[in-house]
Amino acid sequence: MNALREQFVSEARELVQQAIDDLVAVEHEGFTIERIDRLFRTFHTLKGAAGVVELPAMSVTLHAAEDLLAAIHSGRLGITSTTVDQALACLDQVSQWVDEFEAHQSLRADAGQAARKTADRLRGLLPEHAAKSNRQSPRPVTNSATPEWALRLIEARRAQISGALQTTPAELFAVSYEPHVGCFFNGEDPLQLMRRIPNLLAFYVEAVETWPPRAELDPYACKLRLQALAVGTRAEISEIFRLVPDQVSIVDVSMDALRPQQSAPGTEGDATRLILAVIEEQRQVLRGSVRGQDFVGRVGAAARVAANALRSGQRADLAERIERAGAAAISDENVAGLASVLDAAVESLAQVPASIGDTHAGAGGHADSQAQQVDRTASHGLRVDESKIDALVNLAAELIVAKNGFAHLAKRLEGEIGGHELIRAVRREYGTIERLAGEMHSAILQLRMVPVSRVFRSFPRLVRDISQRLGKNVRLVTRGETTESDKVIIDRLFEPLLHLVRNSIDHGIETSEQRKAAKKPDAATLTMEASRQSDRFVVQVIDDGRGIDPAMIRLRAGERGLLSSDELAALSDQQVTDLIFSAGFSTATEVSDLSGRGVGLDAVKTAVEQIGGRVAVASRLGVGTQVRLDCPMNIAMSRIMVVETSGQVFGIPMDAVMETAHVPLDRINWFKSNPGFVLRDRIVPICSLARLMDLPERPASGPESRLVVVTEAGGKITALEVDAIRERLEVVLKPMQGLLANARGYSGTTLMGDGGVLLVLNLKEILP
Amino acid sequence: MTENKRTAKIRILIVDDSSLVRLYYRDTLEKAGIEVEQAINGIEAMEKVLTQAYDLAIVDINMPRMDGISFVRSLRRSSPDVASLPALMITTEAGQQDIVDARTAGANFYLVKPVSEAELLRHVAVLTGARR
Repeated sequence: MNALREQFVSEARELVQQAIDDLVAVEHEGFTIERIDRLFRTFHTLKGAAGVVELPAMSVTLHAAEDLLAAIHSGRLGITSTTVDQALACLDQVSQWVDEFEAHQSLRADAGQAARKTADRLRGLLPEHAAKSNRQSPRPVTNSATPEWALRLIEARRAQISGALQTTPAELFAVSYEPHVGCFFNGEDPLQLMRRIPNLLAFYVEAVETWPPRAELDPYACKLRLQALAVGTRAEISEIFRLVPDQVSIVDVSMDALRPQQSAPGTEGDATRLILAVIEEQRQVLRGSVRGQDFVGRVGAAARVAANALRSGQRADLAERIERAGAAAISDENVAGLASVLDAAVESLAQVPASIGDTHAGAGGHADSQAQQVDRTASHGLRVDESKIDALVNLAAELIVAKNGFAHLAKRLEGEIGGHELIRAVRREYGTIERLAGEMHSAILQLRMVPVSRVFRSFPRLVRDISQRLGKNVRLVTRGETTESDKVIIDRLFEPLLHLVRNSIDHGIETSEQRKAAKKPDAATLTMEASRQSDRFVVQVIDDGRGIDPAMIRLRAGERGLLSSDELAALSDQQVTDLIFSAGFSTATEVSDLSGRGVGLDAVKTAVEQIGGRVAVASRLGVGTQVRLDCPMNIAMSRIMVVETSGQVFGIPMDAVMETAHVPLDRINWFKSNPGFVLRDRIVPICSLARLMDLPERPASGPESRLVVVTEAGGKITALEVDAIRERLEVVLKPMQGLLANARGYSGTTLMGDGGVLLVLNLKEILP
Repeated sequence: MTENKRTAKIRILIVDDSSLVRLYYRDTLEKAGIEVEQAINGIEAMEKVLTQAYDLAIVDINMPRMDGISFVRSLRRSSPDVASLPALMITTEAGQQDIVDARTAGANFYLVKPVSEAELLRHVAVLTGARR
């Protein structure tokens, strides 16, 4: 695909999105002239873009949409959800075409048909008189008064016509005759009339309207249009049609029309015409020039343009006279002299058209310097293929690993030669490299940062459609659209967010009657909010609906056999609420077409956890629900804590680590048969990591206390007993591959500084 | 000054809010060996003309922030060396009133959309006085 097409695709998508945003805003927040203006401009630009890449179907559709907006703009048509629906449908059609165009460089054969259908639907909304006046497509501009049909005839018979005109010095006429439907019953013979025209040069018959099916055809009705070109006099021709003057039109064909069409570029006559037109326009500019702040500019520009035009016509002599007159006009503050020099120039130019050289072909010489043309204009950002950035990200990640090797080397040196000056130097260098590598890595990751608006912007439309379908009145508020995160994370959030929004509108937000009864405002508010909280990227979906009723959840969970009644009884209301994210849970009492498709909110949880995020829900009955997606800023780097147990090292994701502690033996209690301790009013069970990993357990890690890492995973808090806690690392986590691909309990591996492989634990899988 | 200009490359400023249209003009003009710079609205165009010399500005009328007509109006009121930059306006078929307004503001010529490559080059040649 060439650059123009690529540019078209991306620009068209952006414009479509903007139009959708504005349409939804107009519907929700009402009509403002600025908004309609902007919409009109957006549609207009889109139409222009479609013209540039030659997609007539798209132009036709957008033209109709423009008519609709013009009617709205002028107040002839009000904004209703029907008009917005149709305009959105038009945009849907357009974006489908854009996709098609991107894939195949062209549209399907039936695009024209679809375009007309969409256009008709749009026009159907227009008030009747508007529909009529707009139905005619704009007439092509011709360079004379000669009607289009006559030009067609001329085109078909050009050779014969010029031949005839050379032998017969007479005028050329075009005749169009549309006999009355009942003419046969009046004894008229249209064909005979036409044959009486002298010097008939061209003759053409066409149906006035499309023929009906043969069974319905009335052979006695004349529905023909007869057209002819003839050389002669008007009187002669009028005489022939004297009985049917109302049914015939006779047109003088100006000799201009006989010239080759303008689209055959650049005859000398054309060039002169343009030069004359340009100079005439400068006279107009001068006419409006009075002494004022803009006098110098106006007169200077007009003189410059007139001189340039003459110079392009090889009339440097006239050009120089104009330049002198222009300078004088500026210093005298009087344009009279310049105007008369312009007049003289026009006269002189009109008389000697033969001296006009070939101007059309080269605006400033040939493209000999094309190779040197540098794209100096791409100042509005650089488009880089994503795969190139990904390659850069991986390289930077490798560099960080390599850098860690440096640290290991320094440590070994220290062990061998002690606190030597050399080691301090190595450490210093290491510090520098570490800093640079880190900065480089984050700078490269910045390249992949995109604002969350990338996903948010689809939601106004989605919320509108979903709430309309469910008959609910919902106002969407988005906040923090400019918050940035890694593209991978942002893109992966779309599905879960859509799920949450659907769920909110479907289950969370009450019907109008219910809201009225609850004394809530009629329109529900759904808020999507993105924010950066230290190194986390947080997106929340908040509604002011009915909230989640823990009693209902308990009931449902019991019915579904998710948990036994004893287990349910032991759970707090918050824990019960969290159950909505469990697999196989759905509270909808009836399956709707939106969210009750058997895919529960557990899909949200899974999707978010896949990108290293967490889901939390908070709800108050009758007040609303808030779901929080807490994600990392990027998924390339993970911070881990290295721990040692039974002579082996493991990584624990820092995300899961709450704190580390030495627990004195006397604070360890036994609950049933499991050890645990009380940490800030909470009982935290202690698990031996060695036992979890099936490693031989050593005697207790210390005589007086045990070393634990307090972790949180899947909502459970557990203290992992380890032998030692080593360094904390920032690593690139690689997924488990090869032999380890199916090993459970690990979230990935990473290369250590000494070349060893560190297994990073997936606590959710290993904890009981 | 004029002599220099004719031997040097022609420099044109395209002022249009649509990047696609800009790209189309730029391609067309650059193929003809013309140097092209772009601005996305009248404000950006003013900044450019005040700091650099051009032979012609090709100006879309309908633009956000500062439209083409306002741009020409402020251009003509700038300092004398800047103010006489020729302006070719791009209008629509329905833009008769625009043409009147642009003429009043001091624009020099008009092209009606859609603009073909040949037409653009023809007009540019005449307005800049270019020849082989």
